[in-house]
Amino acid sequence: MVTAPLAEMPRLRSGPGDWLRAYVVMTRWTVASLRLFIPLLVVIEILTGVGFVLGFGLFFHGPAPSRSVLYISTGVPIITLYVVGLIFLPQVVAQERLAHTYDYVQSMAAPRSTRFAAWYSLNLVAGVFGMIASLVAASLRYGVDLRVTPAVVPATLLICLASSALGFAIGHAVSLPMLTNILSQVLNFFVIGFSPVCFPPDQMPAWLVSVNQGLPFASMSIVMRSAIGGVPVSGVAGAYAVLAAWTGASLLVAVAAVMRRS
Amino acid sequence: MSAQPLAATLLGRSPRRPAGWLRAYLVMLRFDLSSQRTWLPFAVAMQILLGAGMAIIYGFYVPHLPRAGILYLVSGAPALSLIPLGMVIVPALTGQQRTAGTFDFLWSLPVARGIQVASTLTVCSLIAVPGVVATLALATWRYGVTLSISPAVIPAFLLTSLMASSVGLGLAHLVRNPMVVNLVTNILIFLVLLYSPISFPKSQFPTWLADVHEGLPFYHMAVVIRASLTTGLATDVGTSYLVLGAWTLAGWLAVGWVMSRRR
Repeated sequence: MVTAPLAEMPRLRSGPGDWLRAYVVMTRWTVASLRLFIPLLVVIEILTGVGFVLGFGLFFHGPAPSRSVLYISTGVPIITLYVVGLIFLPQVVAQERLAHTYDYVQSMAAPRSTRFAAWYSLNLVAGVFGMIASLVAASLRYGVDLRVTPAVVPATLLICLASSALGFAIGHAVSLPMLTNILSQVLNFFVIGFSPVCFPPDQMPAWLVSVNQGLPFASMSIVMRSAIGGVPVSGVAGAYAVLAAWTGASLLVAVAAVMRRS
Repeated sequence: MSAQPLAATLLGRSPRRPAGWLRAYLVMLRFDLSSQRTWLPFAVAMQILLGAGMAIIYGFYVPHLPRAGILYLVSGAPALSLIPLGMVIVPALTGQQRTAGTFDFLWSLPVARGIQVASTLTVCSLIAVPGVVATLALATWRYGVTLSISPAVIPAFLLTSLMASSVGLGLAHLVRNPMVVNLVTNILIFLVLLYSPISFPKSQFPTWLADVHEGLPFYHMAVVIRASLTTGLATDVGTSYLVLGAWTLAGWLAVGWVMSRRR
């Protein structure tokens, strides 16, 4: 038996270059494996972005008040930014568990962080597409005067990152597929109905506003409104900090879940 | 394979006595109730979430509603709680039966298929009761309104519940792929919650959308329920009963048609 000299052994793949290569491959793999769902994603984003903007307007007798219009116009883009990462992708992981492909995907010869990065990239592309659709719909339907500032870039990136991290944590930490599905649907319902994202906080009970202060969704609303709303918004730095904290905590949970050996 | 006559499919091959049908119906009812008890809490929770939950949420979006607006919101809540039960949970259950392979087993039971359908619809109507009562209680408590409940509440709730379950069952039988059924029901809920004049007057909607709703069942569900819970808010109730009856019949025909095409 001839053993290969040490110099000819395959080298350990590590470092930024190899990570980047693995990320590109993982992104291609993620998109390819979801290719049947891509039309569905487009439908979800358009329904969410345009559908909510137009639908909320029907709640009002006559023209919607300008304050409501501001919250709807700046709140719906948030839904479009989180819907893929927080609602859709955890369900994909749940489906993998049901189909017994979860362990296979986890066993791929690529850093597991690339999976999150690929996931985030997909969420960002789909979310920005939906966000633009919602902003166009809002300006056409309500003639709202939005002022897009450069802060929209960090705001979009961070909102999407926080929701992707939270979705990633839910998808990997919750091992019961049924529970994952219910959790993501209830979260969606909570954000749209019980978080001051698409309507001002003073229109809901004070205790619910307090509950929301510890959650990331009200902060997403503050960050987005300050970036595109064209009105002065208070507590922006705190909102960025809350989002960063939720991102960090979610990633910690996700790392613990992903590294756990069964 | 030859299509067998619809009547033979639904009532069994040999003409039985009504007593035989009644016995089979009661046995099937027991079977359905015991086999579906696991998802009962889930169904009630979903009904309350979408019924009372939406009535509360609408109030967050539109504060300072006039009294008539609040009554509209509260009296629309039962319809919002019945729609997901009939049009989401019933198709989802059928989809689950298809995935698990129990769908064919149920059809192979020695009970006429019409009786099975009647049993499923009865179970759905029974299950609707706690969810609807809880929804109404929560919504009236939240807004502090008093409803004037009339005896019409019985036919109104029976027909709306039966219609929703019949259409849901028809959809589940017509569309074989559970994934597609899931997608359709999700889009349906989205449209019902945002684009249906259930909790808000039709006059707030664009004319074309209001016209579309004249032919769909959702608005009419709200009308017959509202007429039984309030006075002076709902008009043209007779037409709404007719439209709901037609949709119920359409659901039954769809189920019967699919069943008569089976081996």
